[in-house]
Amino acid sequence: MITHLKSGHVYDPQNKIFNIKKDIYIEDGKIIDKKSIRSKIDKVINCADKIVMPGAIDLHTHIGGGKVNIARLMLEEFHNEADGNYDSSSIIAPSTIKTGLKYIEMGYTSCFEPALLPINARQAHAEMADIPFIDKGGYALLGNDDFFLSLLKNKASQSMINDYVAFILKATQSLGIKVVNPGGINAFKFNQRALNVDEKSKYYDITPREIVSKLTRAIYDLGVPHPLHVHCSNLGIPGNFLSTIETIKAANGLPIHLTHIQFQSYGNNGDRGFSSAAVEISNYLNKIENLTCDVGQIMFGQTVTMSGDSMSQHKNHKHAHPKKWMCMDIECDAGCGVVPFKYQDQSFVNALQWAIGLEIFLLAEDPWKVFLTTDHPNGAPFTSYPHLIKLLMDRSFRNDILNQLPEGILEHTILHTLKREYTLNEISIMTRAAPAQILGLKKKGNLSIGSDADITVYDKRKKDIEDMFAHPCYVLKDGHVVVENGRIKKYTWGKTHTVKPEYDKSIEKTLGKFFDKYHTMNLDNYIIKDDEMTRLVGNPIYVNDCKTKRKQ
Amino acid sequence: MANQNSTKNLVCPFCSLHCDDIQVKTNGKKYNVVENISCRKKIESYNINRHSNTYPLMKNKIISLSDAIKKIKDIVNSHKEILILNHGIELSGLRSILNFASQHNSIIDHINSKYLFQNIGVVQRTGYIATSLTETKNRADTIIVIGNKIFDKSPRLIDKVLLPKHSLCSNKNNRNVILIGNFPIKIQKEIKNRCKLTNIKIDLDLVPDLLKNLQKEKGKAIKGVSANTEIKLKNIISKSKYLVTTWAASDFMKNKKPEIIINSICGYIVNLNQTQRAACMPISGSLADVTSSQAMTWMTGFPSRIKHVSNSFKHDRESYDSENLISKKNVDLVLHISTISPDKIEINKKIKNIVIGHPNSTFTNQPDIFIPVGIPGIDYEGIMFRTDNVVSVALKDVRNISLPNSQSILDKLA
Amino acid sequence: MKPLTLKLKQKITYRIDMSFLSDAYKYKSIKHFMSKKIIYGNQEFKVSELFSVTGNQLNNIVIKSAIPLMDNIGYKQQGIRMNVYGNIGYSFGKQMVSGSLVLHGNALDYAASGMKGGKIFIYGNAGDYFGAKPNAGNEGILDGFIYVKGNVGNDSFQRVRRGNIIIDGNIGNDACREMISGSILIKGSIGNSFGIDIKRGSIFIKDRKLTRDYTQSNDAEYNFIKFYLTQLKSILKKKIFLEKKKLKRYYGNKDKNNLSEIFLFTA
Repeated sequence: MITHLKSGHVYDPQNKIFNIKKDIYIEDGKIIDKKSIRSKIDKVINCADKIVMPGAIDLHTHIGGGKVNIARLMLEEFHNEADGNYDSSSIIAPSTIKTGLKYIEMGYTSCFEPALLPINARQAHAEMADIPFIDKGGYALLGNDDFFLSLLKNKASQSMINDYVAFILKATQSLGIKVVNPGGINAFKFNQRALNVDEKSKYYDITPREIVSKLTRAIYDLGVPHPLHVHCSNLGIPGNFLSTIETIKAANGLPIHLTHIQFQSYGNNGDRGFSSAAVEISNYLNKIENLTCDVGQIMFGQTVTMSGDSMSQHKNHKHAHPKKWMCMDIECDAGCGVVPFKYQDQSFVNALQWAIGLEIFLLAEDPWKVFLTTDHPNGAPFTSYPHLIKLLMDRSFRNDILNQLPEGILEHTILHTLKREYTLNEISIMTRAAPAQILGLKKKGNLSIGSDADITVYDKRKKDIEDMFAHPCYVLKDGHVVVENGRIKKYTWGKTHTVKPEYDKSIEKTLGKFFDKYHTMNLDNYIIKDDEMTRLVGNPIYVNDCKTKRKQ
Repeated sequence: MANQNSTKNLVCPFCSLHCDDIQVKTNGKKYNVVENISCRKKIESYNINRHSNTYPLMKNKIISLSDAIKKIKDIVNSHKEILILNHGIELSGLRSILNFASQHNSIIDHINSKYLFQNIGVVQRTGYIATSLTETKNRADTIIVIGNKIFDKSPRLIDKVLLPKHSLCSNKNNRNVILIGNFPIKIQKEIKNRCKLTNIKIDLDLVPDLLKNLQKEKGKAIKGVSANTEIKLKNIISKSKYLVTTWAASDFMKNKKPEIIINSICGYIVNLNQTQRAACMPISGSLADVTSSQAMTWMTGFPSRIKHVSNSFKHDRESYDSENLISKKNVDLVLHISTISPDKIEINKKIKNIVIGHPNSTFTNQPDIFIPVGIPGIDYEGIMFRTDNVVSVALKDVRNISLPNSQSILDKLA
Repeated sequence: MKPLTLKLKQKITYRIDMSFLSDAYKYKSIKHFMSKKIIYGNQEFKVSELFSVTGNQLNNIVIKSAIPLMDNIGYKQQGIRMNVYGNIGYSFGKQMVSGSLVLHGNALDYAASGMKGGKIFIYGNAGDYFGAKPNAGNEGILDGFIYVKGNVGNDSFQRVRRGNIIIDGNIGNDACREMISGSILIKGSIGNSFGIDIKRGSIFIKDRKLTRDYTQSNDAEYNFIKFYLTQLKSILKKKIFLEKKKLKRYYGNKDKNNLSEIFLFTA
């Protein structure tokens, strides 16, 4: 079956195509060359007056795993949003089905769960298997697990650490590695309540800096495309931009990705001891070549914060709204914390958080280095992306909201002085091509011949950019038209993206002994096998290439 | 298929610890546990015996599987309110249950919902601080066990978690175990031999008062706890580096106020965390309750007691309570799914009953149709969740006696 | 204009979720409402297929010959009036927000659970867990007016936050546990374990035993109480059992975090 997207205005940043009238042909889920067509074209979609982009990619969204399920359970009183098309689960903690529906309707075709606890990976994959339409994947959490920290404590060689990292990627079927509050989650289990970048944890005598250095190195050495995904120390604490900068330095110039950087760009100036450090952070971002980030924009309203960072979530529980929260220590692996929260536009702190996120977007010189996220659902549910895009593309819209915020905000933000308005070119980069590139997904985020036919078609005539991005005319997933004019046409099920760098298997012996002694599960049963992913978990995998293994 | 007399690794489906270090010898039909572990007898009791049924029965007469399925389809289509009562099934089966329910607008409940909601209630109302088995094994230096049923439910909890051979960060010989409730002498001895034991023999309804006292200079006297014991307890707890409380909600059900007991424990732990580290580790789920609540939550937003109503699952804890629905005959067909336990299934003769279950199942009354199915973890592979909610295990198969799996039957019925 | 009056067309055997009535006022016309699809058993029916419907006021509803299979009457209802004749099922007025609900009959468990406002009148008995906490909330009745002519079951009024509650009958065991605030007037007898861990609130009772942990205050003038009772009377539109009764005030022990007060009346 061949589908023809006829004369759309194509945005394909990876191929340096911006707003060019072009035809696209699709067969068997791939984009094909017109020249290779041998049979008749079955379906022609007229795309004149339409914008054609690769399907959008969300590289940081909490869509599966234990903490998401705790939130779903905890927030039952919000599960009253049934309206015929969707179940009643709330968008701040949606069911798997609703997650898939809402993403695909916005033209998102690949989404990545950033906090896959290795021990919880089987559950996270099983949950994600029940999300229809989209491709998915996860980043395994390391840096707080007792095995890794004992490796560091015992001065294990970098190559041994690399083997462990590669093993974890394989065992948990992950696409990358994330570290959350390096060492901090573990230190919290020993009753440490804060851990700065150069502070040593009491039990293991290790600093977050060492953890970040070793892990960024491991990922570089192994050739894993996605840089270390870092949720820095001191999340949400005024003045934390300094530790953010120190964390950047800890990578020693190797690639590093800082996630939800908005929560990490706080100063402590002013009479309230809370200020924006977006300028300082953006200077680094613009200057340092191997540094990327996603923003984690907040929006006003009820949401729920969920994080592996039990240390900071325990601190935040006082702000819980409604008044309930949960923290958990997990399996000598990591932790988690779920705290419902309501961002209020009349709160000085929340209003400034909103402004800081936008400042970071607007100060970033290179859209290939900054990604559009709300850290769903921590900053806001992912359904607010179209609104966020409008904030970036429309200065007067942005300023109207800014002017309604509490007095005094303007003294603390430079947002009103920023004239920049994002262009469609830039939006297409930061939501498609750039995330595909930073994740190493060669067949995604572009419309090259042979790439996956995950395509979103927007109506160019729509006056409101928010409306345009919220309601694409067509969404194609693997070549199937799954959404047409807001209606679901067909249910499809995506794949799970992984990487599998090579490693020295002797690490499994060492780890096996550790498991036998200290865990409550055998190493062999901990590993999620490829065929298990298909048969039991229900989520077939796609293995992405690693760069050639570097010499160590 | 298993070879003649091979040794296989069992991932045990029978209690919520889901131990995976159990070796069984199997000839493909029968299996025996190799090592002498405390739950050996229980595991082996699931073997096929002369009372087992390995063929579908209709009104106690053997029929073919295809006839049974055809018959059930007819029954399903001619009945107007169907309750699916889950007595234990793994993930794939549960997905099929939800699929079936969405085709037939059925009600789903789990037989253990009333226990489950006790622990879930805390998450939904106040939240708490939890921990997991491996965390407890390696970090706990003080463990408070509340209620005595917990060791019946999870026989290897002491050996594997509370008093393990190895522990990363806590001195395992220096552990304090505080037993609250009336524990068998055998358990007390076993613990006393391996660590420091404090035994608080009180009625569990007094637990909230005891915990209140522990947070005060001086509280009101509690029957069965001397002032000295209270001081001793306070001392142990204040010195603790990582304290874990553990209980089984079902243990409190015969007490007057299970919810109050659990709330008081969780509230106590939350307060302790202002200055030191402590966490809760509820033990639940002998009938895959955790698997059911986890998977239903991610697929529908609700952990149990749901009904499919116009494109969505609706949750109602009162209206969809299976006990009431059956006793008041507010449903006309009950589909029992029971793949893990051969425990006696209550059959209300006044309504139609179909059982898709364990070949060793027994009933209070014969169901209209019974299809014996394989046991996940014995006859087929599957995924189940451990008591601590964060670890899920991949079950394996250790025998082959050609029983169908419940998922395939449910899919045929849907 | 006549109230919308519903009556079951035939005998039913399965539980029926009546929460659809709470949205009736949103429909453009009676015709639209009549063709609304509701679920009964595992099938969908139009309202008109299950009920005979007369009248035309979508915000003023009468249910005639109600039966105990009808759950969730008045669920989350806002602004409307409902009169129900007959004995009904679970969760009457669950999480209701405003408006009024009148029941001429008995209700099963969980009536008024998670009530947020409005008025509930029950001219019959109510089951256990009256005014219970909602599944995902840690407070019982948040506000509203409640009158029960008959008896109320066990475990009622846990963690009441606000509200004015009058019970002419008896009340079961474990009532008012951890009550946060609000006022409760009870004419009849009271079961065991009343008011455990109560924090605040005003309770009007006749049982002297319950004042054990309280201290009698001096004979203050009770002008405010008079005013309060008059207000309640105007809502109830009939005599309140406390009128012309002599009251003694007792206050709780601060050290035990009990700031509640009891008004003891002589029966």
